[in-house]
Amino acid sequence: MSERHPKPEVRCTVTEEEEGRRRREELPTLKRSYAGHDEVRDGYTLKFLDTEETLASLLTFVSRERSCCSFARYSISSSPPYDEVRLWIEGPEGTKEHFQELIEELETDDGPEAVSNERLGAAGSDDDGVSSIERRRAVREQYADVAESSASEDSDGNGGCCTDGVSSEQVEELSRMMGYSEGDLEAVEADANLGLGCGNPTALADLEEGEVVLDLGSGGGFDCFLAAEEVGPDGQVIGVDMTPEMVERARENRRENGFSNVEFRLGEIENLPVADESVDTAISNCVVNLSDDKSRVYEEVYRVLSPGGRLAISDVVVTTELPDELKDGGSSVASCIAGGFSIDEVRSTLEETGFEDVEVEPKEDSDELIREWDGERDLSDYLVSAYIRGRKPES
Amino acid sequence: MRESLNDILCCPVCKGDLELEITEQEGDDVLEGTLHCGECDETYEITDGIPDLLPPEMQD
Repeated sequence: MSERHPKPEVRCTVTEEEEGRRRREELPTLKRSYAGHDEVRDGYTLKFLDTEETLASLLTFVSRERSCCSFARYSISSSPPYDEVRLWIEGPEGTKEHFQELIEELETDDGPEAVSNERLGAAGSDDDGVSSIERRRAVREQYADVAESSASEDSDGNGGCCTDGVSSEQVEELSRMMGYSEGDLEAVEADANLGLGCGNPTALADLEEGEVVLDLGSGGGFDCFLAAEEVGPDGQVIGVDMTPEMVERARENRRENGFSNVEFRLGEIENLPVADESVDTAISNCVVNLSDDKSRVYEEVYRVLSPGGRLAISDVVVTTELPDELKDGGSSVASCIAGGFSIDEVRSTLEETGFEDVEVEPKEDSDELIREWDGERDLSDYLVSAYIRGRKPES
Repeated sequence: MRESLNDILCCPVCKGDLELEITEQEGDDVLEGTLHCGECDETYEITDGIPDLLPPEMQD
């Protein structure tokens, strides 16, 4: 900043009316696609998800800014593979401070989606007075939306933990990334597969004919049906899910798939309605991370397993502390996993519960799948999908 | 739910055994009825073949 051009240069001449228009028109789009910022010497580079809508809003934004904040220079850049568009703003000293407010605004998530995310995220913390029942109800509502939106083939539904609403083609693609084979996908009617998992637990469970299998958070029933094929007519698969809409869908899918050895119950994984020592193998796909009492879930699994029974689940674990911006609002995915366990925490919890032969094995290439979960941020920096195994001692 | 699988169920709250009362049945499949816990006296509904075994505070 030169002495001949003192501070007044950095000032905004926007009128209330113009500001109101900006809030209604381009800001909502920019907030939705905002993906963070970098500081440059006298300004910022703001990053957004590159969509046509974002580009159009950025253009309008810049055309308005250059008249009300004509002290700064603006530049929009978009380069291959066009997944991110950048807005560079730089100006005289004070520019950074001036645009601080804009960044705060972009970082405040207050859209309709964000309201439910906020509820989920807030309910996850113990110190804000929101009870765990409220959190469970919130998770359940979100999954009810997924069950219903998938049922009506509406791909714009709210996301579950692991994916936003997706089409059936996307479900198949995601499922391959999770580790399901073509045979698995063909074996079960597509409707049962909601693409909400993060691995293929039946593949790691080494199920045997005649076994009793329990699926924690059975969703549309896809893993239950695959397990049913493996345990055969003498075996039994029980799916427990706390979302009525999911259980109804699973039951319909059972009718369509014709599996008589699969049953679904409405229940909580923290309070399993399953008798002691009645299960040979417990499976689960990307569900335990949603619980705010994971230790209790593992204790319940231990209780229902027969001596020698196995736990074989796929779940996301946290590899590094999540940044506050992800914990406090961001995406639905982030809200769900904000309280996730680390690999060490999973291992020590299982061992403290009494499990033997505990293995927590990060899944190779899960970053490819995890990147699909959030259009704005690369969550694979913080999360990994892991196969988690353990065995209840024989005696 | 299948009647023969009642043994594997328990009360989600106190883990007590559940007594099955059938209102409507199709073969082994119980469509409507109740599951009653003799220990804590809680009753769980079976609607359209699905037992609602959510803890009472989570039930709608």
